[in-house]
Amino acid sequence: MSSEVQEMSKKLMQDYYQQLQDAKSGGKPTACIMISGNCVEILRAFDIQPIFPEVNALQTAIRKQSLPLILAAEQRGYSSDNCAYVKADMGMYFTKTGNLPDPSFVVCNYVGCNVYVKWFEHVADYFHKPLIMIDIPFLREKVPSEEDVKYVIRQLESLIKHCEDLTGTKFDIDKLREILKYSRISEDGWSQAKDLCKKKPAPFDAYFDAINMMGPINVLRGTKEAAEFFMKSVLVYEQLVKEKKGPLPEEKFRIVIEGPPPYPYYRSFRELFSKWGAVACQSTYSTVGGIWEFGFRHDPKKPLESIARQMIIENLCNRSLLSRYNQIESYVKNWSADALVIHSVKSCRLFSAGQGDMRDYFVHSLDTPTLMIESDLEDPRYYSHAQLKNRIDAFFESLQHKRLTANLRT
Amino acid sequence: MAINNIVQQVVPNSLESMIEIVTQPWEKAPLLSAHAKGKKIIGCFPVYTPLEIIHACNGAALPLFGGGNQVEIMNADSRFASFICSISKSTLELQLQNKFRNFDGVVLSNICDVARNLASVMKRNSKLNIEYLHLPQNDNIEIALPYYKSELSRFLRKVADITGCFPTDASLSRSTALYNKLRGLLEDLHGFVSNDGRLGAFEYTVYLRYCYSMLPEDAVTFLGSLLNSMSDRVPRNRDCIKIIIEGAFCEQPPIELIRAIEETGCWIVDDDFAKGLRWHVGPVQEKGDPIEMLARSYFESAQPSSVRHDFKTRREDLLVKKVRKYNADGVLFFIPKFCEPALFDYARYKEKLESEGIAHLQIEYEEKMWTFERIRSEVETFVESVLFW
Repeated sequence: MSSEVQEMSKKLMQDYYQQLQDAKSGGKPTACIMISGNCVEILRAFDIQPIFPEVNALQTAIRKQSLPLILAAEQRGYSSDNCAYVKADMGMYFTKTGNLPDPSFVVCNYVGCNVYVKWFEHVADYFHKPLIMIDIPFLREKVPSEEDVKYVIRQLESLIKHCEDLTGTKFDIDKLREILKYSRISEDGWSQAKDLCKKKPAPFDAYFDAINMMGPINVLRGTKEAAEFFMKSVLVYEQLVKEKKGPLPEEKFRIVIEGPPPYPYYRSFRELFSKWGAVACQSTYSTVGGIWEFGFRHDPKKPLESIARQMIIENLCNRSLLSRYNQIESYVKNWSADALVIHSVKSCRLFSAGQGDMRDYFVHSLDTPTLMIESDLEDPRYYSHAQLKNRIDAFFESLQHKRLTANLRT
Repeated sequence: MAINNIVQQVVPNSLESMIEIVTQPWEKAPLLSAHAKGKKIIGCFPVYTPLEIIHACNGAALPLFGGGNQVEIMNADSRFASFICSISKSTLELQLQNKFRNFDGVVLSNICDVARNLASVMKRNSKLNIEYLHLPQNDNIEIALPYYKSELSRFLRKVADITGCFPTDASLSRSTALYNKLRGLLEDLHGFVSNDGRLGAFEYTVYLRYCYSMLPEDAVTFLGSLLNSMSDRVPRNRDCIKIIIEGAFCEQPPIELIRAIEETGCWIVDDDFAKGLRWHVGPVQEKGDPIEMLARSYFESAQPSSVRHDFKTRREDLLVKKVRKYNADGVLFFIPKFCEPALFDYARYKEKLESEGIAHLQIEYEEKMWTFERIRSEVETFVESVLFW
């Protein structure tokens, strides 16, 4: 990724964490909410500061601070088989780690991930705060029914009522429309940036570098700052495309990566691919919050309906595993990938359950070279560097060999 | 153990034969014979499925509980990783081994992340109709009821497409009444488990699952006779502690393991084995719009469950109430390996029970296990600690 984009992203996230601290010291209203298919725009319409427990958890992992927090949760009765994101987050509360504000309430956007429900029940219980459930019907047909959409809108209206009661502010739909305009600009920028990765070389790694765009699109969506970030980032990437520059000196392999990264070993995991000249031209993890690259945008003219539709349809988490196969298939084909890498993480069954079948489908039905590896997104105990290195090396060696022999034949 | 004086045409002559049926329902369930007569068979993955709808559509609903220790995993391991629960693998394995050949469909629902992905994997690997129900998780009935009614109507249309029979409201109400009758009789039977122990939880669980391996009409007849025979039995009279089992609502322990637990000196006064079969507390209203009545009962008269969000009535408080109601000595958390909903709830239960001074023990099992010595020893120590310390 361009260091310019990385620096802009870093600054935005630092500002976000500063705002959380300001909310704490100023006693401003805050709400916990999840990343996947969220309705953060509604919180913004009331100037409620959103807290993202997933982001807090992954920050501890990147800083190699997650294990003591996980252990603290396990001491309280959480199982070694429970999602480590939850344990790291709860562990922060149990050990009084960090300087985050307590939430004024908890918004559980149950978007396909059942762990969200458990997680936020625990958070609400711990802080003795109200839990507002936004139950999103799973996308079990090609399109949601009208009743599915109405159900979500009814719940959003209930959330709005709660926000009104909490803040004493009347809901201003024009303010929400304005916020959604910014969301739209960010979504456009995200989509354009992802589209530029169809170029060879891709201007940034759509897995390892996309992580820096995920903060602005998911945490800060609906803000002017995020919109500006994306407008500037696209210009930077367009310039890189013109100059034929990518994240590595040479792009030898283009891969699609499925599954979240191992945050405790982010850099060393990345190096396992970089040494082979492998660049991710697309990734599914980057779409957990929303799938923008196929055209969906929030609509200021239909604010609640478009928020509802995004929560039901336009994010990876609320779609079936077979829809994910289709998404990856499109990535492999339209982004000209050489291979698929599936990173299976123990913590997140939403991602990992059935990935063996996914491998079977891509290898046998689509003839896509596919590598499947295992570790965890948060718990460093499940990361085995040597084992991963062996498997990744063997995979790229065989890819390289195939390419050489194919060249010889031609 | 012989069971005499029970309707002979539907009942095997021993509990052991029933065990054989309930542990291999995909091949041995009595209701499968209806397939030959043109009835469509719909398998129902745990936890809860509105069976009344399948019945009203002239289908035969067969609750599934995985392969237990009756199927060797040969292919499913390559589809699901090592850290995924056993029931999802064994269910897929049954499908891959064509054990569902007499089935016309399988229903799954949003109980956990694994079940939702299992639905996709099953869909890709077979021609079976795989139907996925999204059971509401918003505990505000005013908001969720219209949605859930529409979801049940959608489900009904899907089932009717399979069976070719779209039911009238009257036939839906009749099916509701029939399942009410069945659940009522099972509740009466459970009274002999919790009140005086003349029936053990092990035996009850066999009857419970056996009843649902039959057509409900036959199960009602069977239960009537079984209940009559209960007066011949004597109440439990042995040294033991009263315990409640929690956590075994989806993947079931090997049936023999329940017997082993009882043999260690536990009187299991209440449990959540096969909880979906006992989902409704009390009868579903039979008058009025049958779909609405079914939908209402999901919110208003359902058992507390780890797979149904209800923040108005905390599950940990209800567990404590249950302990007090039965004057139980402790709680055994019987949790399948890798079952996230149960494992998450355990953390909250544990804290609550400790604050209330209620003894508890967590036991982890897998459906495919076949030696129980370790668990037996753990439970024995627990029983002794409650009895003598």
